[in-house]
Amino acid sequence: MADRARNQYGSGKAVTFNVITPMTRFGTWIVWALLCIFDRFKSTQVTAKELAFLPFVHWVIVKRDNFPKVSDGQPAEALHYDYLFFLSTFNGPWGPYIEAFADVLYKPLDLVWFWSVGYPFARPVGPLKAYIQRNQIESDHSYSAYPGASVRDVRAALDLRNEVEKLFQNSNGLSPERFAAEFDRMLISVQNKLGTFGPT
Amino acid sequence: MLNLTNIQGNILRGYASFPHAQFLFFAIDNADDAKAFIRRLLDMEAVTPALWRAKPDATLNIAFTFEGLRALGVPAESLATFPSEFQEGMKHRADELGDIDESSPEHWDDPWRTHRVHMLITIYGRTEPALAAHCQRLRDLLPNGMQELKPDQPAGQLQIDGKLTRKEHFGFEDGLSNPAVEGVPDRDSKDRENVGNPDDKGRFRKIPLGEFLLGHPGDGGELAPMPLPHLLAHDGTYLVFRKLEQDVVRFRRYLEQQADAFARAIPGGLPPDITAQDFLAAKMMGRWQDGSSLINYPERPGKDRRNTFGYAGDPAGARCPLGAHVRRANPRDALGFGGKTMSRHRLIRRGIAYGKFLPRGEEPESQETRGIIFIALNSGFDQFEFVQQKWMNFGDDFEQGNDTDPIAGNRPVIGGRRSAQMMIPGDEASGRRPFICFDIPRFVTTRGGDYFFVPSLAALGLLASGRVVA
Ligand code: HEM
Repeated sequence: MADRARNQYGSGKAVTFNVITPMTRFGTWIVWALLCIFDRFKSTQVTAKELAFLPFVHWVIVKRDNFPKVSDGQPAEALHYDYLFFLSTFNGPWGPYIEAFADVLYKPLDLVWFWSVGYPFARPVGPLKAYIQRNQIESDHSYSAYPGASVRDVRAALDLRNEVEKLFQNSNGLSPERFAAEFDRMLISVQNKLGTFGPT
Repeated sequence: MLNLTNIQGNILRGYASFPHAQFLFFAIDNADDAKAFIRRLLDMEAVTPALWRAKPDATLNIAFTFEGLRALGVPAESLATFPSEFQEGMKHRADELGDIDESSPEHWDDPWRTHRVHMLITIYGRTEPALAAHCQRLRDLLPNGMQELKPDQPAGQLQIDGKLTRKEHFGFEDGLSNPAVEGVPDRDSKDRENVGNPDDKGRFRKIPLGEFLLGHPGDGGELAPMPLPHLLAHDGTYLVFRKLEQDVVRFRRYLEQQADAFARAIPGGLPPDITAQDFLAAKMMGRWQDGSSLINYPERPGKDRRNTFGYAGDPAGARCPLGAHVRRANPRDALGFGGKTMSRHRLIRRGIAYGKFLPRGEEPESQETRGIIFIALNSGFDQFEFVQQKWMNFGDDFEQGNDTDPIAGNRPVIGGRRSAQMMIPGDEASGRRPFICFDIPRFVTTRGGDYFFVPSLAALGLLASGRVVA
């Protein structure tokens, strides 16, 4: 069941999410152009990054004659459509993930998916969920560099390291009082980056 | 749109003027007996205040688990249309809900541990004798084909120093903040202000009825998935029942242990009328014990229960920590996006305390237990499960990593021990330093509960008639 998507870490910090939908040739060109625009103009990427329950979102077009073959002996398939791969991971339950996506990013979602056969629009979200369920592919394996870390964990850890290194560099020869003051300043700057982490 | 005569009581408005409660649990052995029983109850009782001719001494309300609907003879085609969480029941959702170690179902109290409750009857009384008389009357009516599952669950507003209060056992004013729902009067009672969801202009908007009642448009104008037939689902709702035991001694002891260290983080110390324990407790809850919000009153309690405040002006949590209970349970505008990532996760709460209040400084009698009968209403169990799973037992949405809710959360294994930690952010303006509460033990343990469906009046009639056809 797609709505039970889990990985070995229980509810999971990086549950995989793959949706594959067919597109017409005309649609393929439009989506290709759109993806170029999204690549160049960052506003959609910025919003997607703010949605920090999303480790990544990725769209890929695979043309009908471009599907990989497992071996040379595999006969070529005659496909009627090009395909749009929507690849992502998220943390948390499936339903709220789709809802947040549809509520916040419905414009890019509609623009890109509009060209896929049978796409119902992002809102209302009920039909979108049904559409995704019909086209979702479960992954048997997935690779994650930090399965125990969410996007926020990684960002927090990077910031924390930065701040601690800064303190280390600047604290040479400070009096104990000055050091205490500098330490407190550092602590306040990272205070909401100190949550426990690891697989849940 | 809103037909109050079809909606059971204690959903859109609470029974605050009925301070004593009794929860009775039943199993159905014979469907015909149970149907006749429901019919009797409907003839005798007004299960909605909209049909009261005069204010009664006691109220009565009815809800069913999935097994209960099945035992009543609801046909398989209809049963299959109910949500999967409801079909499975609360015990089977233990992993999702964090009901593990001491909270796991094998440690629950009866009847939850040994039985699957079919039917829940809730009786609220204005006085204790009225409540007792009403329960007796109900038991006298019970047919042979149904049995009461013991023990029953008494509950009620806490008596402190001989006075009825709306406090919970840790000492905080409760029942303060509920959703402001479209079409429902703003105030639940004269001193309780409901609150809607934030919009992108920093104001609050009322929440569509469909977030709490089936058959009405919800957030985004959509209907929650509806069981069939329509008549069975319309104006009904889903009820989460959880018996949450509170370890008051442990809570107070922890506050005492931390008090000195916490006080040292405050330059110049605390004002003379405020103890470090009370300040720390307020930081964990996000409100002072008198109910005033840390957003409006960051330094001292304000005896002010205004509820339409936001967190956006306190992004680092200098006033109300990002991990405080009420800020997690309803983040309001704290998550940005014009409230879009929190708006589908609201709950109506009708919880009520059980057990005797433990006065400060007293040791409890060994057998005595106390806690909250947590009751939440929503149009899909995913609303409750999201809050429980992502906001109580996980901290990522609030920049708190895996840290769990300091009051009601689970205790994961940290450094080989089951405990939690909480960051109480410092305040640059006043020079208060950040303070981390380490080794927070478990204060709240699940002792039972299940998922219930609360039918409308028409649906109760339909169930009693036995003519449910999907
Ligand atoms: C024994 C355990 C618990 C205790 C002692 C407790 C106590 C409180 C208190 C004192 C308040 C503030 C008063 C109010 O707003 O009514 C509150 C608010 C709230 N609690 Fe709890 N709570 C507990 C468990 C839970 C759980 C398990 C959930 C959800 C899964 C929850 C959800 C909420 C919500 C949604 C609010 C309202 C927040 C707001 O709108 O600002 N509580 N709780």
